[in-house]
Amino acid sequence: MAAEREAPRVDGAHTEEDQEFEGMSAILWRKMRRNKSAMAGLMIIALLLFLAVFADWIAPFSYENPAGEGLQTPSWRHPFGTDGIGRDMFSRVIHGTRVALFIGSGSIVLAITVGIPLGVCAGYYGGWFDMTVMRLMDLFLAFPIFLLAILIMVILGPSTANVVVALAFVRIPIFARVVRGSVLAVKEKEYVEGARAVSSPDFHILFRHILPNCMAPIIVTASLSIAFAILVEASLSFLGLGTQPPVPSWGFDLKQNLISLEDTASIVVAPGLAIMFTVLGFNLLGDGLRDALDPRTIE
Amino acid sequence: MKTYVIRRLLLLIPTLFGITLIVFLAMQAIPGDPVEVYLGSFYDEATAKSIRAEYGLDQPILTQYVRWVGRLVQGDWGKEVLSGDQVLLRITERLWVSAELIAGAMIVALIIAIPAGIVSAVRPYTGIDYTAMTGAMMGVSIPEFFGGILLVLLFSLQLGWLPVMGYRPLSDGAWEHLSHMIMPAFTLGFTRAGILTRLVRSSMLEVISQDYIKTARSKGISEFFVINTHALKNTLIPVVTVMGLQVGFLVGGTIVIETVFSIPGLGQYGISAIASRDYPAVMGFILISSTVFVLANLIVDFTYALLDPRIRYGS
Repeated sequence: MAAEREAPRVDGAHTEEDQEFEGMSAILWRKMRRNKSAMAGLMIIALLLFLAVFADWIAPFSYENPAGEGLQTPSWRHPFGTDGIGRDMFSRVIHGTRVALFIGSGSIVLAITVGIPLGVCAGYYGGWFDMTVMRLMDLFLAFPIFLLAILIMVILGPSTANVVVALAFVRIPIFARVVRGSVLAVKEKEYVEGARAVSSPDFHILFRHILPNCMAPIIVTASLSIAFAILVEASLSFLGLGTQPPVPSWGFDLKQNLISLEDTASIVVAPGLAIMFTVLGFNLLGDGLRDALDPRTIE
Repeated sequence: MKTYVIRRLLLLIPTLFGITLIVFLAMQAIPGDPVEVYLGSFYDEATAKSIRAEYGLDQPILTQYVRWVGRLVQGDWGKEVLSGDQVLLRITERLWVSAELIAGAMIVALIIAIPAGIVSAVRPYTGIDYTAMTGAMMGVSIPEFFGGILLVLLFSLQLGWLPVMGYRPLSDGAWEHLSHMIMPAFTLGFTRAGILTRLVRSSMLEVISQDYIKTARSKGISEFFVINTHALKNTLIPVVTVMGLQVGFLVGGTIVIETVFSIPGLGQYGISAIASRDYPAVMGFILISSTVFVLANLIVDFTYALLDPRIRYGS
């Protein structure tokens, strides 16, 4: 709601003539507002953020300690039932948002921090550096991505921090590729030539002129990558290779509670739905952003 | 076509080498001395030294790698630490189970995606399009293991139509075998169908706006024929190109699905090898899975070249 009130001010600050000087974020927001899929995704993510930030207040019980008898079916006191040792499943699912969002966004921030400079330099300088970096990236892409994540977890050992590292690592080649591709396209533009003509330093050209014009595919890839990271984290934890107890990971809980599927299905279904809902949110946002940022989309 | 095939086959060699190199280095990077782990409480300096000499672990790392690759090529993939069985033998036994699962999933995905994609492209922005796209979005967002569990809840625990889990070889009878494979294959296929449906839809939308489709229509050919013969062929080209990538996801997916349904395939083998720190088995598992992925991509590229002459004659 607050965002909606803010929006007209952004539009109003510019007259029609200087619309081309509208900032990147303002353009993005203007296009996104019209995209139903992006807005639905954004609302889901806002809700998840709210749950993650206020988990301590929203969750009625501790996620670590038993809150009653084990394997209770859903009731007013325990909406999702209790797990094998009596922990309130609702509280664990609420606290799980923190874990999922932390791993999802943390790994992507890390992947971007490494992947973007690699892709930018490979695309801009070309030559042997480009050749070496991109062949190496190709080699990592020769592995099925989930398998590569498993391999890294085998080396590092299971823990929350290591999951972040593993998920970042498998995503670096993708960011490097996406960025390199758009840098190759952008660096031929006249304004880059212009900047070079007035002998701006490379660093300035790269980060002031080239990178801002490559943002669209990066933003879309980032949003879809968060969805992917949350999905893979859930799978790794499901296999016991990811987060370790007592961290309230949805994938781990699902696996843990699977033996009680016949008696109390709710303790299996609730974390599963939580994963699905979260992944859906980021997928919707990513899809919507792609449509909104595609220059071919007619306004 | 011939030169294209030869060039692609030659490119296979460095890729496979790269894979072995990464797997080898990854295993070196695992903390802890394997000999120490292997000997456990029986560890003493003399025994450790003789074991290191026996397995060539006292050699420089490059020598170790070259020897290891040499043995791989000769079909000696090492022995499982616990059972002493040949890793390659165990893997090939299980490979077929996973291959069947992947093939089944692929068929399920195509059976769902092609009709759903066509229908939503032919009737865009209608109820049927929105329904198909919502279904596709669900397919993309649902974790494979959770999809499998929901099916088990419905078809095994509620309706009692299908067995909960387990595996029966074909020798136990065709229905016995299939009834255990249907749910795992469907689960894997459904998640892949999500992506493929969206691809078929967008590809079909692009194709039916082209001139040759207008020509076909103006010749009075029925709409059904125009879509399903003239348009479909070109629609499927981008679908074929992503198939290789899909095989990669399916290889990853089988690991999870085989765990959910207790199917003795390659994925389950890998996970139990990881759990018991059986590194020769882990290496074999990762090598074979990534080789399958690389080969699948190669076959996809060949198919693509067959379908689209521009690829064959391109640079």
